[in-house]
Amino acid sequence: MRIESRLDVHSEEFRANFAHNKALAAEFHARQQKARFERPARDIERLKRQNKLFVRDRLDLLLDPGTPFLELSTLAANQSYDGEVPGAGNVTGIGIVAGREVMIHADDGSVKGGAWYPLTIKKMVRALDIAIENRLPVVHLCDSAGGFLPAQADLFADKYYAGRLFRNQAILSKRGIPQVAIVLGHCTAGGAYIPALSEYNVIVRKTGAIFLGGPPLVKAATGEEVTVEELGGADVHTRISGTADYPADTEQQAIAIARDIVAQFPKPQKLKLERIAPEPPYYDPSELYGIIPRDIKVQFDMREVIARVVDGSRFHEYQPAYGTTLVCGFAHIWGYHVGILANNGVLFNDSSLKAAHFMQLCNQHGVPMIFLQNITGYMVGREYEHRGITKDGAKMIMAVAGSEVPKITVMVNGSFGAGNYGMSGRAFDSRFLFTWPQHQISVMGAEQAANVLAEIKVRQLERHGQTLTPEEIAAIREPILEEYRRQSSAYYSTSEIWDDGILDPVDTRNALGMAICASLNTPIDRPHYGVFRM
Amino acid sequence: MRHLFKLDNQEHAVWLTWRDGRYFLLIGDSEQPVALEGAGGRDRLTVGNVTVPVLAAVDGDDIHIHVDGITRTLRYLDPIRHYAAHSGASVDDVILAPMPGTVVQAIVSPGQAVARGDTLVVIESMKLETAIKSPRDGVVETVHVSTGMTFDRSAPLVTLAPATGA
Amino acid sequence: MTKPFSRVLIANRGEIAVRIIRTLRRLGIDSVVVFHEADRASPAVQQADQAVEIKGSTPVAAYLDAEQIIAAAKSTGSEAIHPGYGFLSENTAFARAVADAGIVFVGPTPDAIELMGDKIRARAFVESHGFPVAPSAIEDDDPSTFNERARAVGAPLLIKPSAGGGGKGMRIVRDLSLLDEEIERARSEGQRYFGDGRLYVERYVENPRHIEVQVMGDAHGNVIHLFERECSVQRRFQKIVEETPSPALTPELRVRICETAAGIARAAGYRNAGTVEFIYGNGEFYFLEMNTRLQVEHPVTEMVTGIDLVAEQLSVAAGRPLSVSQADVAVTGHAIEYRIYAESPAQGFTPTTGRVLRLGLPEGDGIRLDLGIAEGQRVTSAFDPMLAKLVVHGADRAEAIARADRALADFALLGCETNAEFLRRLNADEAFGRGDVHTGFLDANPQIAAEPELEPATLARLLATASLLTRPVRDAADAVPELHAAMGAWRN
Repeated sequence: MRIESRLDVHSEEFRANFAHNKALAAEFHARQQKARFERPARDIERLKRQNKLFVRDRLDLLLDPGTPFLELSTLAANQSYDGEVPGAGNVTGIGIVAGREVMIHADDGSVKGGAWYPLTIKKMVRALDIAIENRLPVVHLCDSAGGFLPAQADLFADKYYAGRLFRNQAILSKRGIPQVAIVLGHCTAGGAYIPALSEYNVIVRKTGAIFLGGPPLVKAATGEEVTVEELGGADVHTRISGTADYPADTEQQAIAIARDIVAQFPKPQKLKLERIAPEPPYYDPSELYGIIPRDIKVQFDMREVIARVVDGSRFHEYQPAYGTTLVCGFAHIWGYHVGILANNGVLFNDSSLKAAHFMQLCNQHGVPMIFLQNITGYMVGREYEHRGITKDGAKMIMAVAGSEVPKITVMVNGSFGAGNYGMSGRAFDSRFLFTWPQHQISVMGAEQAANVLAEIKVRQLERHGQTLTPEEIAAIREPILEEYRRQSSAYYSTSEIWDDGILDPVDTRNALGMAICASLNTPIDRPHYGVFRM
Repeated sequence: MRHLFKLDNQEHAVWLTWRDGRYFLLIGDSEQPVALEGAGGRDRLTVGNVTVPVLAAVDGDDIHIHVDGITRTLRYLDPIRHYAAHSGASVDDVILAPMPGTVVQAIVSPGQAVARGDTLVVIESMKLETAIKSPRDGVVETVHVSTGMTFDRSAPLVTLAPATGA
Repeated sequence: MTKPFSRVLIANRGEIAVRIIRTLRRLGIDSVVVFHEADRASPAVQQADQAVEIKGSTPVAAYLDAEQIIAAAKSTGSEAIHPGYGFLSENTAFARAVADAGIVFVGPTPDAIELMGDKIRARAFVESHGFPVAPSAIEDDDPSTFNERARAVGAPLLIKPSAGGGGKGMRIVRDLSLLDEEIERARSEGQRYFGDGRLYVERYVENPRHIEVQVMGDAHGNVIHLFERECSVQRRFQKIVEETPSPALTPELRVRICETAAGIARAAGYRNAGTVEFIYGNGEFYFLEMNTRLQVEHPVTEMVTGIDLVAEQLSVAAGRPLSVSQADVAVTGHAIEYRIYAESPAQGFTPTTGRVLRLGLPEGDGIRLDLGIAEGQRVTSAFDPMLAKLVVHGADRAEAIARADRALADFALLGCETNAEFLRRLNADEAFGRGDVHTGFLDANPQIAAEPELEPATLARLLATASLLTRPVRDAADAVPELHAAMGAWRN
């Protein structure tokens, strides 16, 4: 049934929201553009001198023309390293190469020589996790100076640090998911394992090299003097050591060879998910800008969002009269049949039960689930505790964590507290997780948290005999609020790679279409869960 | 990466897409629906919303086409071959011994022009004679070995002069 | 009327062999063709009733081997041999050998071939019978008076080396005051290039037009003309386009030239088909030479007169009188022939080679195509590069030109480059349309040979066809999943 929109696009409220959110989207695009393309002139010059292409040009050559590219975490590291490592120094995303859906990971040699910072590694590990979970072949474009030594404590020893990259590569291969690496620069030390652990690799003469230790390190270690080419150049590895498979004269040739390699990969077996002819939403997606309120505390009807994302704006709502703060039902996105769960307020007992029940329905019938989050948390208070709100929240978590069907989460607005968990937050293995530019995420709202923290500070000072004026209290409270706001913004979240990227709201439908399609390569198990505390 | 066709010494980059039950051709930034239907004598080609008769014959990578009163031959350029380097020294210049052995006969001499696949040196190793062939067209610069000489694996046998730009 | 022969051997190849077979078939005469291995796939070999292989050190050498050809005629019981044009068609010894073998040579008598084959003798013969020849002075006749006699020829004149050929060493002199100097220079050039400094001088016609007249004689003393053909559109002395009637001639001039040609043939006691060639300009015409064979461009005469010249040749060779009298020969409409060559006009007309992968042939009212090649055949440099003749007839010259434009646009030969597009541009040329042609026309208009840039719509069509027929391109399109193809080049 087509959702009937009750939106008044001529109202002042709508217009104000629209202007506000459109400006946020414009700012978002400007920041993405900067992170993707703006580089210091000397770095561009250096690439030219080294006879190397800019990473975006390499991607243009690699991808099939006329096909979409879903880039992930474009703004990773935007709040770290003094903003000097845009995109964390690499590009990851899902695109089409020789007709195959692949995960691409490309070092950006124009950013600090392609050096690996802690967030660079986190972004790569995340890309490979996605590749494993969704059985996507991987294309690596290698051009890196290696690990950023000053930050080695944050990128070397722990479980999900650099070693996890190579572990993930090995697991991809173990599971029969092919990888091809194109060596377009130096692959030194750990970096050397990327091509070595890829089932296929291509190396460019004179610019590409693979070695565990470069000439300076070798000289320091054993006194041996050797050139880059002789130590680990294209001909050494393709003719003598067998570490590399295909030599190439130019980057263009290397990429052409890699495309041909990908064309040899077996075609994926997709899950039999019901798909009908796609249909754009009936309502104009740009109206999304007018729906989201300027103030995060103001409620809105999530159905209006759904109406501007799903095919034909048609939504089959499940239990429309019960648990109304949780909206759920079935729809099609780009023709794929999906289940949608969305928040229309705080979660109560009934809405929590409804959510857990609907998740079981989706799992029963093999329908992927889309979570649209705008959640401040579960209802608190005596009545609700007595009714078992904690149990009901736990049931939601049990259902979401035990789900076998692919889950995709979009944090449309707020994601606060335990509501984040029950609605498939990061910890709950969504195949993809996206946010909107005005999204906020934290354990509790900023105002509330600032009040609590300021209160603690004030009490502490009072215990030492100080009483504070309202202005002094404000002076303590304000910076805490500032910092809290900063750390709960979408830009902070995406910088830390707590999500897979911010989306312009009007891009949500396409991103979901690609994400759903990518998620269908992995067979799913029959539904089974842990114990639901009844 | 777009497909490349060569026509009259000019390269044209195109891309073909299948969408909504028909093909679209991307040339530069513009895309048009295209279709080709054979019906006995002349085939019919549709580009955009105009259909014209066309006659075509494919011979390997060459496509001969007669349309709009003119005849042209387009050649499909395989990207891997096309993007190979055309000039400067490459490691193909030094031909190395694939295994240790003895020289049975050095066939070529410095200054000699050779074609791809021509035998340069005949070697013997493990009671097997092997003809070492030239990887490309070129001119022999140096012959490092002579009849009866023994050599190790990866020893240079013949060096070709760097290929000139083409 | 019974057929003139029951079996005829064609000592030729390519389009003329096919054309002769067409008439033989129409008359119910068995056709035999000799062929070299290189021509095994040719249409003449496919269409003849019998085909006899001949050998040679080169393919051309085979078709020049009189012994093999006569042996083939004997072994197949052929009563006559038609030599076509080129090869042995004007070889006196061959004509005699054929006759000696008791086989009829479809052509003139050996004596006529011999007379007209010697250009100096022929010229002298024609002049002695009072027919116009270009004024000239031959040094050999009297070296001491050469310069004087040369001056008497009058300007403009052409100084030619006696030992030269192919247009080499010729100098045009327009100002007689420079004559002595030019003669000296020509002499030293002749010495340098040909080892022989002797010269002769001939009146030069500015922007000359090449007009020739078809003649036909029988063994009973009847000689008629079948009007003229203009063959001025040439390149390096090679004819490219021929037409009839000539746009240059007034009715009076036409009569004079045609009757002169018939007179020359009559004086020579000429039998069978022949062509008398003239140089024409400024109202004056001079005998150039006579060709004692059927010519390449004979179809234009056939199309305007309705007379099958090969049939007439066979009939005359069998001893019958001409089937028509001069009064019966009338011209209807206008015909133009375009020679399709395997060459690249944009690359200086260099010959091209390849394999005929596919043919698309024009058809319709007034269209005749004499084709010498078939699909699957190789075009090599072994033979003359002429592949076909497109002959177009119309009620008038304008209609013929319009029909030719359509026919040349429709003509398609895939696998070997031809001059068809060049012929179409030539056909569309304004000056050509007015009939303002002369033998220097193409040299004076090099822009016709240049290939114009492709229209964007045509380029798109070429790329579309190539893309749809190239497997890697189509496979790449088919490989992209439906969703992504529908989404297009979207970026987030």
